[in-house]
This record gives sequence, structure tokens and C-alpha cells, in this order.
Amino acid sequence: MERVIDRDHNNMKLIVPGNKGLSVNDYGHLELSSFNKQDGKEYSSFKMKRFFEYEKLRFPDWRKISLEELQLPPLKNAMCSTIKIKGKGIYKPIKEMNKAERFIFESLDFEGSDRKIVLLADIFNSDGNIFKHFDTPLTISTYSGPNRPSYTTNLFVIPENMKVKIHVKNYSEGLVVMNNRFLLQNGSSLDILFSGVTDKNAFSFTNNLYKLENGAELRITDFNISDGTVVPHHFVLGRGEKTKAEIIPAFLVANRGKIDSQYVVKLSGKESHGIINGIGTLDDFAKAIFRPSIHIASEAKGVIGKEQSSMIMLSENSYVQTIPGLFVNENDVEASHAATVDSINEEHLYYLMSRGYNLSEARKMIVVSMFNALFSKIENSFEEECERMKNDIATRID
Amino acid sequence: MNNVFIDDQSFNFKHSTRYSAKSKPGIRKGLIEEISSYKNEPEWMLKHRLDSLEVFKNIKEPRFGVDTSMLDIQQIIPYLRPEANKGNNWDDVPYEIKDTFERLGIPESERKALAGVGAQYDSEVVYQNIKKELENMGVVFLDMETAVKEFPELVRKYFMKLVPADVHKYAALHGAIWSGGSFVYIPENTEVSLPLEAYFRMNAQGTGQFEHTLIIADRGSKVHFIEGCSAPRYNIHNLHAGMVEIFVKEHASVRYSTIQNWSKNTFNLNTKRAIVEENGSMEWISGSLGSEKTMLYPTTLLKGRQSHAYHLGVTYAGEAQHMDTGSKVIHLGSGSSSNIDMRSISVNGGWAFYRGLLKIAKEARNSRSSVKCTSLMIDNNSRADTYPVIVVENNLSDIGHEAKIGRIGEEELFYIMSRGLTEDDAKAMIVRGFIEPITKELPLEYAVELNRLINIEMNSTIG
Repeated sequence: MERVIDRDHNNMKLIVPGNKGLSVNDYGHLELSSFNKQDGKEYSSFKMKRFFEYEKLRFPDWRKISLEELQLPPLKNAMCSTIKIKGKGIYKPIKEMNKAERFIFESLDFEGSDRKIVLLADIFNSDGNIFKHFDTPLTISTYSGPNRPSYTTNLFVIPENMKVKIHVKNYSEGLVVMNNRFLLQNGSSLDILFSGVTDKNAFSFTNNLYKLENGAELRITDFNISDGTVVPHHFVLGRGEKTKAEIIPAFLVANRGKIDSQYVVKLSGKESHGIINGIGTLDDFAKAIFRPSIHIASEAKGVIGKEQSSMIMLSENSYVQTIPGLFVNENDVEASHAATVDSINEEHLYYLMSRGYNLSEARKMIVVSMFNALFSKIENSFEEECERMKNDIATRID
Repeated sequence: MNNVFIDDQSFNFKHSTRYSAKSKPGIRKGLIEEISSYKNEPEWMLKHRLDSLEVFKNIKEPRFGVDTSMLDIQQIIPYLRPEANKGNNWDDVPYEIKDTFERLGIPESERKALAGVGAQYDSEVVYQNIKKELENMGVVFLDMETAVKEFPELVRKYFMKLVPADVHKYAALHGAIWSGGSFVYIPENTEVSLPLEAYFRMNAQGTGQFEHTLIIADRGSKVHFIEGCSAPRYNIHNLHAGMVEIFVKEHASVRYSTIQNWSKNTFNLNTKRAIVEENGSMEWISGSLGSEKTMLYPTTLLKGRQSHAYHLGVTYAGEAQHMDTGSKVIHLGSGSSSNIDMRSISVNGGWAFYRGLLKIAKEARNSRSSVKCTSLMIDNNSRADTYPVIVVENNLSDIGHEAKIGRIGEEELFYIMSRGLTEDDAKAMIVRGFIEPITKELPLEYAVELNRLINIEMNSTIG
């Protein structure tokens, strides 16, 4: 299983905090057996193996982003995703996985934001697909309603030298747990946009693992608007040589919304690049934990790893914690990070107000323009969605 | 192969020393009572020790940092009293102990550049002296045991109030078994122009050293305190779990400089904290070079308005060394500011882990902080990590953080070599330049010593 932090080095060991665990009404054998009839042989065995691990674990007792109010609704109420494909594409339900596909699934195993939550969607998903041989934009939409959870587990295999665009939309009024595993084969490229809106009292967990083979290129844009609790986890494994990974996290959290985001780029192939360039805005009583990290393995010569983040606090009641980590085992690399936490630049406000805008308008213009700079990078790929996200931000700042 | 190493031979000498008391390994109530009785402590101090022991018995290992599983505290000899009378005359110090400190250059430094010196050998201070004129100004520089008796109210008011026993396991252990260390009191508006120094030497194998340093800089005062530590190398583990507490009052200024060069069998699990009142200033200048494993994060609580902290340090992680070091600054007062510049060098398979905390509390409006971490990896068998936690609870503060990990730049190397230096000399010059911000903040003698310690030997090209 892939872990975020390598705990060993030359017979020395790092102690990493564990978790006490939280008591949540949990699914058990009853829920597991209710779905068994539809499962294929491989999936059934895959699921059982995971269930043995799942039942021994507890939900995480995170200090900053409390899950104490998390409730698992009845499994029979679970929602399915909507999948839109323009053009041709081949996918099949995860329940029909064969031996080879199971092998890929299991080779892409990971801790995620929390192992229990990853296993929840792997075992109790009502929806999940294996995507292969697609060459056109793909949109996956998930929705969870109050007392209607959405659990999804997907596997994407991007074939050699293929360029793929995917848009994952998520609107959560209840509980969403989504796992996505991506295998980017040699020379392939993936441009993926996650856009999520999480309502008050809703929970959204997305756990994503990306494995990059030689020359594969990846761009992840992860945009979240939240009044609820959102926990995005993106873990890039640059195993091949000359891979490129760029992550663009962006969020706007307001009211009593919370976000605990983790973006990990772990590079072990030579001459690979990893960039994390994030922006976050917090208003009202919002709380944000932003954890980007770059990990460079020994012998990964010529790697460039950079992180940059800018957190803007719009309210004196908001809270931000940022932990930009660098973990480096090779000296022939460039690894750096820079982080700022600030309020809106007063000089910019003053300038706009001297041009006749009132405080509220000036504030809105500045925040929107910050996000615009970010969206300009992906506009060519996701034009329609960028416009929608810009409008969402403008509405929220109002 | 590139080879940058610490020249610790000048610290790695051993003397056969006579001891008047040597405890059995392990921590137990009876021993604590014996130590307290020998030190003729007041009842409250014994109670403090026993309360700390109870905390120690019930507290778990820290859930982060270095692996301490091979450190068996019940095998550590916690108390070792050399056969020497505490005094202020080097001639009264037994030969082998005096020779140790002579070889470490302490008496010479005292003559040349210090306002006062305390020298601790294993568990007890064997020499303590301060210049007469400072004494006349009301400056107090004593070993902790004497201070407990002569200044009981002051000690009781401040002792382990900044680092209570329940903060972590090694603070509890320290609270129970502490011995030696320094007590410093600087009266109001008094400036001590030359530094005070305490030197801690752990001489015997399998022992622990638990000295306590308590500094109170009263309103408008100024002092520079230097701490040095070393030990000869043994094949079994030694433990250092000292504690430093510094109280910086309004408009006062304290600089605390450390050159730590414990031997490579030592677990250095030390705790240092300062609290700064309005317009006060605290500076930590640190060179962490020795030990097998270190967990050390000097902490400043900026309590007062416009208070300031400056943390500057270099950590060296050589062969088989796991150095988990960093700094913590907590802004509580409005308009407070901090500047953190931490550097590390990893070489010969060593592991330098920077762990930092910067917290801007809700009430610390208009605070500013700049955090910079830089790591130099001399070879690719080593590891350098940075893990800074930045917490901001108000929207009226400015926080900037940057970090960089890399090797010696080829362009820099080429430039220096084009001026006629060999590659080894060029690398040595770059490493000296890398630690220069620290050396230039130290008194000359210590800067020279730090440079000498980080001696560089390179035989081949980079990478």
C-alpha cells in the first residue's frame, strides 16, 4: 500500500502520529451481504479481503476537521453517478472486474486521507466503473442528498500515448465518498478537473491515486466551494522517468465550512517534474487545512519539485493551517516551496475604491481576479466549466 | 566520494573520574528522594519531583519524531556526582575534571570573553563564577541547586512553569530527576555586556544528564547566554533531557546561543522555551551537530505587544544521525513579529528533519512572520525533509514561508574554482558560506569553533 510519508531511512525510523479513532454507526456484514448477489467472482473476493481490514478500523478522530457529526445513512438509499461521454468510450462496472483488472486495482492501493474511508467506498460502493480505451472528454457527475449517500470507486487506465480529459463534478447535500485510481501508461496524458460544491452539513471525501509511467503527463485542477466538510486527497506517484505532474488546488470556503486538503507528489523517476500551485480563500467562520507535499526518492536525479500556495483570509473569524512539506532523498534535484497567508491587499482595495467601487465590489473583484488567473490556465480545456466556476465565486463573494 | 564530516576528536576524550555517588540504572522514587535529600531541597521541590515522577509513569512516548524504542530509560544511570566541591576557583576543581574543561577551552574563554561561567560534569555543577562587578550590579548567576536555596521565591515562581511536566514524557522525566544547570537573574535596566556561559559535559557511559537552566531577564535588561555541550563516545546510549526556561520581561532582550556536540551514542531529547513580554526580544542561535538522535524545537511564546523572536540555527546530520529539529513561535501579542531562518546539512546518510510551528493566534493582530528553511544535501545517500506547520487565526497578519532543498550548486562551484581554488576548497567555502549567518551571530571564539567543527574533506566531483 502506498503511504504518503516514507518512515525509514538507513535504519532510522520516523514516528508518525496515529489516530485514536471515532465511533460512528458503521456498516457491517449485513450491508456487505446485501450486495453480494450482483458481484462477480473477482470483485466479490476483492471486496471480502478489504472488508476484513475495514471492520478492524475506526473512522478518524481528526482534531481540526471533526467528523463527529458524520452519519452513515442506510446503504439502500445510496445514489449512483451520472456518466456522460461525448463520443465513444468503453467502461464496465467494477463488479465485473476480471483478474487482470483486479491486479491493477490492487497495485494502486493507498492510504488516502484515511484508510477506513478509502475502504468504505471500495467495499460499499453502489457505483463504480473501470474506464479504458476512451479518447474523448468524459464527465462524471455525482450527487448525494440528505440521507442519500454516494459511494463510488473508479479505475481509469489511460492507454499509451493517449490524451484524455475528464471532468468530475460533485454536488453534495449529504455524504459523498469517491475513490479514483488512475494508471497513466507510457506517454499518456490526463487533464482532469474536479469541481465540487459541498453544502452545509454535507461531507465530501475524494481519494485519488495517480500512477505515472514513463513520459506520462498529468494536470489536476481541484476546485472546491464548501459550506460543509470537504476532504480532497490527491496522491501522484511519478514512477516513470520524465513524468510531469501539475496540481492546481483552489477553494473557497465560507460560513462554517471546512476543508482538509492533501496534495502529494511523489517522484521516483529521473528528470520528472512536480508542481503544486494552490490558492484558497476563507470567509466567515471557515476553517482550512492545506497540506501540499513533494517527495523525491533516492536516485531520482534531475527532478524538479515546487510548491506554492497563497491563502487569503477574508474574515477575522476564519482559520487556516498550511503544512507545505518537502521530503527529499536525492541531492541532484531542485525542491522548494513558498507559502503566504494574508488578507486582501489593502493597496489594491484602496486603488479600486479610488476608482469608484465600493468596498464590497472591490473585494469581490480582487478575489475573482485571483481565481481568474488560475482558471486562465485551464480555460482551453474546460471553457464552459471555468465560466460556471467564475460565476459561482462571484455569487459566493456577494 | 564526497566526505564532509564533523571533527569530533577534540571532544572524544575520556577521563577516569572519581565519583562520590553513582545511582543504579533506572528511575525510582527512592532515588529521587535521595537526590532531593542530598541537595537539601525544600519540601515543595521534592513534591514537584514526585509529582513529575507520577506523570512520567503514566505518560506515553511522543507520537512523532525520532524512534526512541532502543532507548531503555531503566538502563540509564540518572545521577552521577563527581568527587568535587562546587566552587568559583578552577584550582579547587579535581585535576581530571579541570583538564577536561581546559581541553574544551572553557577557562581560556572565561578569561578572554565571558562575564561568567558555569561548568557541569555529569550530574553536578563543579565550577561557577561571575565577574565581581556584575555581582555588584545585582546580576545573579548560580547553579540551580544554590538558587533553590538562596532565591526560593523566584525559583518557585518560575521553575517549570513554562514547561510543565505533563508537556511530554521527557519533560516529566526531567521534572523528576533534574540536577545541575544554571539560574540567571538580570535586574531591571541592566545590560550584561559580555556573555554568560554554561558548559555541560557528560563523561560517563550509560548516563543521563538533566540540567535545568532558568533565566529571568527583568524589565529593560539585556543578556547573552551561551550553552555548550559535549560527551565522549561510548557504545551504549546516553541520554540528555535538559530543560531551558527563559522569561523575557517588558523591553528586555535575551540571546541564547547553543553549540551542541553530543557524542553519536547520545539521545538528545531537550526542551527549550521562552516567553516574551511587551517589546521584549528573544533570540535563539543554535548549532546542533552531535548526538545519535535529537528532538529539539526551541519555542518562543510572544505574549506581549510588539514582542519579537528571532530563531537562527543550523543542524548537521552526519552518518547514522537522525536530527529532528526545528523551531516553534506562537504569536499571542498584537504587533508581534518573528523571523525564523533554519538550515540543515545532510551528509553520509544522515537525516535532517525540520519540524516547525508558527502560530498566529486570533488576538495577535497585525503580526508578521517570515520563515525560511534551507537544506543542503552533500550526497544522495542522505535525506532532508521540511515539515513546517503554519496556523493563522486572524486576517490581519502577514506570513511568508519559503523552503529550499538542494545540493551545492554547480555554477557556484565552477565560479569559485575559476578563481583558482580546488574543488574541495570551493565546496568547503560554500558550506562555510551556508552556515555563515549563524557563525556571524556567535562570539568570535565560538564562530571559529563552529567552523572548525564543520570540517570538510572532498575528493571528487558532485553527484
